[in-house]
Amino acid sequence: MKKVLLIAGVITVIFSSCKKKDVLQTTQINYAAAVTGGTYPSTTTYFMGFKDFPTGQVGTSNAVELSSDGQMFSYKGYSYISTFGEPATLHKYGFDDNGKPKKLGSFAVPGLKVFGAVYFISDTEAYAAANGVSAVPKIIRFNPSNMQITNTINLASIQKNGAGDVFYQGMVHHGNFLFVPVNYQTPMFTNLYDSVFVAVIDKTLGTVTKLIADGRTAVPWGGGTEHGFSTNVIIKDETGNIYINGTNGIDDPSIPSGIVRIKAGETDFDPGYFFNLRTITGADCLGIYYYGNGKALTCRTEDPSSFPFGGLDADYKYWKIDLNNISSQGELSPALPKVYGFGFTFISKFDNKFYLSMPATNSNAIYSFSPELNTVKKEFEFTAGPCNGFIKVN
Amino acid sequence: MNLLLKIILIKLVIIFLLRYNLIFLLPLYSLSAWGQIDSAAIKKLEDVTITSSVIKVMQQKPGNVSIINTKPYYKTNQNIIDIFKRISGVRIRVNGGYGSRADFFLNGITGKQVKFFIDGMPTDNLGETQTIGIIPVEQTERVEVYKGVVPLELGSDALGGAINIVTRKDAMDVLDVTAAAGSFNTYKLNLYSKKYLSPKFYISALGSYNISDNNYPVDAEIPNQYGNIEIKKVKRFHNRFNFKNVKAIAGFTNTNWCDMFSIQLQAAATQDEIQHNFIMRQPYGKARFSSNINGIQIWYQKNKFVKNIDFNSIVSLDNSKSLFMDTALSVYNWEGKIVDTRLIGGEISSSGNLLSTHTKSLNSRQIIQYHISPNIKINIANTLQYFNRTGKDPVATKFYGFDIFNNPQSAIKNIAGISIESKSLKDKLLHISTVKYHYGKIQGNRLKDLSFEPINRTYNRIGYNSALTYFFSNKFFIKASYEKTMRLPDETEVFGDLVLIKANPGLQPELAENINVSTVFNNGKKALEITGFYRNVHNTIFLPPSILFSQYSNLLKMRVSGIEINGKYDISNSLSIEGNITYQDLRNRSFINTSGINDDKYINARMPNIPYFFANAGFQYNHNSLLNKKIALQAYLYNSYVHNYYLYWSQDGDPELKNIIPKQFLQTLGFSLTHPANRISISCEVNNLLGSKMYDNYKVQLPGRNINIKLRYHISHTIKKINKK
Repeated sequence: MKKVLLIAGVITVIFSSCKKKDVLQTTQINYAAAVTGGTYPSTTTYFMGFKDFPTGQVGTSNAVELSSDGQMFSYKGYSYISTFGEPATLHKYGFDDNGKPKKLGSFAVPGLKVFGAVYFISDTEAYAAANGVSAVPKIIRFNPSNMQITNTINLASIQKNGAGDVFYQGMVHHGNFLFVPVNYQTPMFTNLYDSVFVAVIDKTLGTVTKLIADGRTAVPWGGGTEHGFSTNVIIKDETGNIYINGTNGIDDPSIPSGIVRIKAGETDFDPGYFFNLRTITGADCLGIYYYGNGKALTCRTEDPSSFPFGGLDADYKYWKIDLNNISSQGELSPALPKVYGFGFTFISKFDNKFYLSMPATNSNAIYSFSPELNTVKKEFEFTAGPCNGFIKVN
Repeated sequence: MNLLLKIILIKLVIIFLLRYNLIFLLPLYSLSAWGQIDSAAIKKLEDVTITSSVIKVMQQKPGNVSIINTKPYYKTNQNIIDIFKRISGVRIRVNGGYGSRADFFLNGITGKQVKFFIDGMPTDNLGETQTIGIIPVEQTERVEVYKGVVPLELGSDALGGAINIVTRKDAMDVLDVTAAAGSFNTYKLNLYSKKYLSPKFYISALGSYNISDNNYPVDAEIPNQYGNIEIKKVKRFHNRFNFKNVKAIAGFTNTNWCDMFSIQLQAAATQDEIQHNFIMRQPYGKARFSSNINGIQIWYQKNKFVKNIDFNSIVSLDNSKSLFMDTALSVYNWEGKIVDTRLIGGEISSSGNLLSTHTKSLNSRQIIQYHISPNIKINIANTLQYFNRTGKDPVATKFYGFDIFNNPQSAIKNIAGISIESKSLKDKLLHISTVKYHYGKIQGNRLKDLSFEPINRTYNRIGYNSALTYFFSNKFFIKASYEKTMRLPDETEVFGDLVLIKANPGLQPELAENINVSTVFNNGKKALEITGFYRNVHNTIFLPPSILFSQYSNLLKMRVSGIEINGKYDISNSLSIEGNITYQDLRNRSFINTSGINDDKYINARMPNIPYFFANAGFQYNHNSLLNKKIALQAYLYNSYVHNYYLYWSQDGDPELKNIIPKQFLQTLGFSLTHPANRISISCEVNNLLGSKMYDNYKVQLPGRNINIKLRYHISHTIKKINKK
């Protein structure tokens, strides 16, 4: 009897161990973020995932360290990171069973310096634009499912004499057309023209249809797309109207920062629409973050002398505007600290909330804004540095 | 006089000079004493005893210095970089093969904080042709590495240390020709010749022609037709380096009016194909850089110039030009194929460049040594550096609308100092204390409202150091030194580049305090040296990253502490072993507030991207009568190890997912055979014996296993008659 019990016990232990081994140790990642970490003389981008919504102070102990600074985009739960340095490279990331970041694919294009705007239309159609005049001027069309390049769109026809650098500041599409704001800078980094330009591209033919310009506001600054997290200067509302934010004039300071519109289905600027941000909000503003029913956020400068790049300290405030009524609705929340405007602000949207990056002088926090409740709340803080992207994966 | 008596007499002279600490009179400045005795044995003594004596004395002098006699390397395939790499506390990171950029680290200090000299003359503004790393070994006599405290004779604003190459000055008729060939289409020819037309007058000619395609295989990223990256083994295809130089020297030695006087004319040129960007991801197919220099140098030395005063003066005038060409519109991949075409610009810069610069420079150094007594000496030294640089770039002019490089810059740097040397406690204690006055003036232009606005900046600072050696016995002594020093900002840091980097006329000099303590044991057969060092560096000038415009600023503070251990053991008359270990702890001490980053966590963090633990070990076997035919065999195996280190800060990121510069373990195996009468030798060397993948910089692959063969023909005759005054 004792022998039987002993054998049974041994068998039980063996099966228990097997059962434990059969249980997969997986960590499902539900949120992902990219931050700039480090301090002089070395900074780079860190990308990481979270099972639970982050709280408190968040470090980078679970993050993959990229070899250079990167800009994050996301589409359907996957993260796409454009790293700085030639050749322009876009990496696709997911997470492995242990919750660690895992590279799923990438593509690189010799002749392009760095991808600045990445825009997704479907699981098989997406576009990436690189900045720089000495780069080969083109937009890449790729399949985000397998990260393969499927076509290129030649932008030679929209290059301008005298441009020292050309920046493609975001993308939206409507119907068969891509709309790409273009910023032309002189070699000495002043505006080549105090106008906002938009390239209209037939994405079926893969060719540039035309380049349109509007002198009521000046150059757009901010390469974000609705899939990116840097300052966004072009958005599309529910009706298909497209809005583009321009900054102030340099040669002609009377030209204010403003928003122009391309009506749905059209390919020219709407002459009857102009949102003079300087006049209506009281100061020049940078970026548009649309959240429905004509409502949007922008960043209003508190130091006009440093607009649009900002000074050494954070000097922007989130501001509510109504695109339909061309009106200001005031500061988003007095409780929010001032932020660095250019290059650091972003908005992420999920679960009916906007998540605002707040790169302030002494902190790098993520705040949430609920349009429904019109409330703002500090959610958590990154200890490493400013956040480059924060998404919900699952 | 028979041979044995001559040898005994020479040894007695050396002992005498050592005993009365007059060894500094030895052939650092004059070899006249040796010409009195002619003997074939002198030649060997010349190679071994004199140089060894000079080195030994210099190592005993206060201050932390490593000195390598380069003469034994004439018959090997070792180059200057190879020699430096085996010195403790020294780490050199190269970006490729022969002629590639070499970054020197002395106890963790690098970049502009380390200064380079040739025969005590600074090489700051002389261009690529005078880069330490490409000087042929056969044209040198020894290398000196000063870590921490820099002696008065090397007048420059060195923050962390200095490297001095002493060029070859044989005191006899010599013809030395070497020819080498090696992997990656590497060929090197070198000539050194010297002829005494009379016992007091000589002429000398040196020349070198070195070329390498550097086409070693690398694992490169190549996008396929879908843009997906494939790793392929390819040969570097645009990496040729070419160096040539000639020198003609005429001089007098040991006359009534001089111990040494020489006039040297020099011309040198380099051509360098630029293969890739910083992390070797984007290859270039056409960008290149070339430079040339021609100059004259006059050297005068007279001990007892007047009573109890020695005088030494070097003056050189140089005219150097460079050309940076970056005009190709083609885009290359790592297979050397053109895959696309730009509309404008170049491979490296947005504008494209055809930048030519022209630099005229004057360097001058004077040293006066006043012997107050046999035990006290006062040294006064002054080093002046002046340059004037102009440039033009028609390609960039077309892009920018005006020539931003047509912006003359000039700078004067003068380091004057006084030191007192003393011996006391029955010559057991050597002491040197020095005060230096640094003066610098930079003139140039900054861009304001699209026009040039002249600016100038002047610096005045005082630095000082003190060092001592205490002899417990003639085999065991300790050394200690302290220095407070600085580095003056240069013209690039003050004026910017007129485009993306703004001028910062308010820039302050970098400052450092350096401390070294060493214990040394050397009984001839065994030697052990242990050195502890400490560096406190602040106001480090750095260019912070920025979206558009940036500006050099005084941003960084760093503290370095560490230990070096050097050892050597002659196991037998034939076999010796030597090695060193260096551990250096570099910690950030900067409080920089930027964009909400919590910088407190980086205080005392290890500085990233700098190696902190490395070691070298070497075995050498000598046999003078191989096969009973008096063929001298020298065989050696050198090993070097560098521990892996992080590219970025260690506390950021998942340790398993961080970027690392992997550890290196490198072996070099070689031998040389020297024919009787020491005239012909052949050597063969295999570098990277195990064919490991090596990286000094992140992802920049170094050459794999490579073989080099060298032939050397060398004859020399001693000077037959010397009439001393």
